[in-house]
Amino acid sequence: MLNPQRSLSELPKMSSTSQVERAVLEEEFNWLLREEVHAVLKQLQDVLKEASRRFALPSPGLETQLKQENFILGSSTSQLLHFQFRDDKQWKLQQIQDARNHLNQALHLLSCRDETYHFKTGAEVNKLMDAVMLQLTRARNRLTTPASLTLPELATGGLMKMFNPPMPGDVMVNFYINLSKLCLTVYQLHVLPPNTTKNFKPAGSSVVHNPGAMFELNNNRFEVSHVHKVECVVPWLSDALVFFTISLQLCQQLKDKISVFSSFWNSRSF
Amino acid sequence: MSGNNLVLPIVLWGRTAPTHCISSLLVLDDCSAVITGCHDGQICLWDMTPELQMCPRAMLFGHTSSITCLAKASACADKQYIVSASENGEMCLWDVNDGRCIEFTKLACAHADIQFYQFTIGTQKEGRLLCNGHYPEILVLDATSLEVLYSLVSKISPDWISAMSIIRSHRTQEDTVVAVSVTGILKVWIITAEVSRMQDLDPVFEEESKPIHVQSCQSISFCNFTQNSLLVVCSKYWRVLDAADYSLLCSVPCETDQSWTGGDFISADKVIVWTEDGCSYIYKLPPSCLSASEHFRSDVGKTKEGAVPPLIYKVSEQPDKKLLICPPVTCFFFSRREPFHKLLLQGDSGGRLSLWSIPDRSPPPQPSTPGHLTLQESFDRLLPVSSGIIDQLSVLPGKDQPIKVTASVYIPAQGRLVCGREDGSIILVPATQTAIVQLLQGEHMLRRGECKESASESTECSLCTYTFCTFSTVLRLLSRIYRTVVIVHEAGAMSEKG
Repeated sequence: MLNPQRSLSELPKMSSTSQVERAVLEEEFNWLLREEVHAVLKQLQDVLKEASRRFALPSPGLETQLKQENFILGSSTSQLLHFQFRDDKQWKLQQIQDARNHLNQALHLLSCRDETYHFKTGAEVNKLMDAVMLQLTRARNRLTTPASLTLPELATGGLMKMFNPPMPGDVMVNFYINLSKLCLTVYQLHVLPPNTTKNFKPAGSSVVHNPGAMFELNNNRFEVSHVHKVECVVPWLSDALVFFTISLQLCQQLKDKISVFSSFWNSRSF
Repeated sequence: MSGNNLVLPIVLWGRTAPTHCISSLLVLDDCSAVITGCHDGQICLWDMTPELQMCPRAMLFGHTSSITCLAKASACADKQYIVSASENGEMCLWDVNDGRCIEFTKLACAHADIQFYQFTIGTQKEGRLLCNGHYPEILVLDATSLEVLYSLVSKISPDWISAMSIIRSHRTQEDTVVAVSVTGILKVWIITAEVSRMQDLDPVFEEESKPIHVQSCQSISFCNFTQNSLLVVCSKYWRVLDAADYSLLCSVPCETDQSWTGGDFISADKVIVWTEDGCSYIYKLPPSCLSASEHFRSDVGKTKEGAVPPLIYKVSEQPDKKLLICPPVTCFFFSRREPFHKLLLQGDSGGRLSLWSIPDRSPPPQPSTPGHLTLQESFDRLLPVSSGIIDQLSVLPGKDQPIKVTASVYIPAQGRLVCGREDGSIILVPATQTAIVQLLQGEHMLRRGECKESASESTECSLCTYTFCTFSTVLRLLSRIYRTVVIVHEAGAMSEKG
């Protein structure tokens, strides 16, 4: 490996044309590090701040979506179940909190490298981009991949204690985000009698369980008899996802720009 | 190499040390070793002499992504265990003495920090690992099985924990965990034996939740010297809080456009705080922060930021520091055993470990000169040099740089390793024999190999003329499938280990 500090002009046995070419490349690369990188980082920060605003202060029109408290679920037997979120307890969609925190971490990484910072190597830019992209990918993945839960996990989770009046023992609910949709799944259960001839096989983890899924809790065996699904699009989540995609593209494009030079010029440490 | 039931991976390095972009640091309690984790997922054990000379001993392979944190995992001196965690949720428990991976687990969540905590049930001592990271709880794991036992949960405004500290206070007789969430809320959990005994997976709720209005909290540390204050380091300021009621004693802004990344108490009245670019600053605390002073708490309730306390000195890297591709990691270590070292350690992206001894008395304007060591430097110092698998074929007469191997494939059916090189040539070597030669020294171990020309470039490969060189690369392979340790080198220790 050549000394990374060595200037290109020192490279031995170089024809004059390639020397000129290399000098131009070097100048262009320095411009990239000095000017272009900061321009992209600024753009990136603007997009991410816009995304961050979506998480912090949803526009007034969406309040209903976020503060919706009444869920009216029509079941096959036409009975109505009416529940409200308790006023005395908070319950947060962990997916949204995680996505917001990953986004803030990406913003923090960028804020440490403002225009006064002088990037010295392409490798340094790549490393920063990798770190930012890791956070953004995680933020996006949190929204696109809801947690798989087992039925006992769902039954003992915090959400079940969040309702007023309390949920009856034969109903379970689950909220999650899938892409830009807020999804609600309601499970109706029936207790399997101890002398049942049915082959008991507990269900594993899943985002949505199907009718027939069985589980055991507090020495009782249950089977899911009905599953109801409701979902609605949350517009600010689709905005956020678009911003994540744009920022990831910006990061990748900057990495590509750096790599153009590295392929020309392997000797310098990138 | 492909046995019937056991596959032992072997790693050989030539004279170029592997990249080691340090992402986390740990010093063992007895100062006998420093452990570094890197962005590629490897962990390096560096032995440290009582004179604080460092020497890399082993490279541990067990993670497939960047190491996020390292922590000790045992309390007794005869059992030196450490735990490591990586970005993708992997955790490994290692024996520092022989580099064995004792336990492995993979959780869905990534830890940002782990702290070891030992408590006593009757006569039995149990080790616990307290973990925080990209999730709103503090997970409590068994330090030997790495199983999640229970979690410390927030009732009020649950959010990710940025930093935490375990406080063993003689004053309150109660061990607590003090943590700061990403939204700047200070949380306190009591982790006394009663709580620890309760292992029915019930969450433990916080005792106290107090907004302290900090942003981007980097670290929180308890003053073990006075047991009266806490240091909270955020990227743009650091603050000292009263450990009894968490009221603000002083707040000091970051003067430069740098960001603070951590800090600690180095004595009852001094703190060390370091920046992202690797400079450390030692400040004398104002009297309002010192419990021994009559002015203690005199500034409580004042909202404006206090004056910057006197800077005693600044520790920074030599000006000739080479190009780094990401910010270095810094840690302060205070040994509670003889000779009570106070060490400042830094690891950077070039695999370089720097060590400063922080003097107890302020007179010396600069701490003793740091010891520096990079992995490459220690490779260069090896005699005989560390050897790669086809090194003896790589160096051409009249060239000082070996030909780089650019691609390789192992053919199990023939037991051969095929190495493609940058000059277009391809070399075939009997893999097992080559590995044996690397592992065992001895003139009788001769090696076979053949070189096939594929490109037109002339490579004079005279196989019969190369001389056998001795190998200092000793590989210790352990029977743990795919968790292996490769001893980088043990200068002089060969004969003892056999």
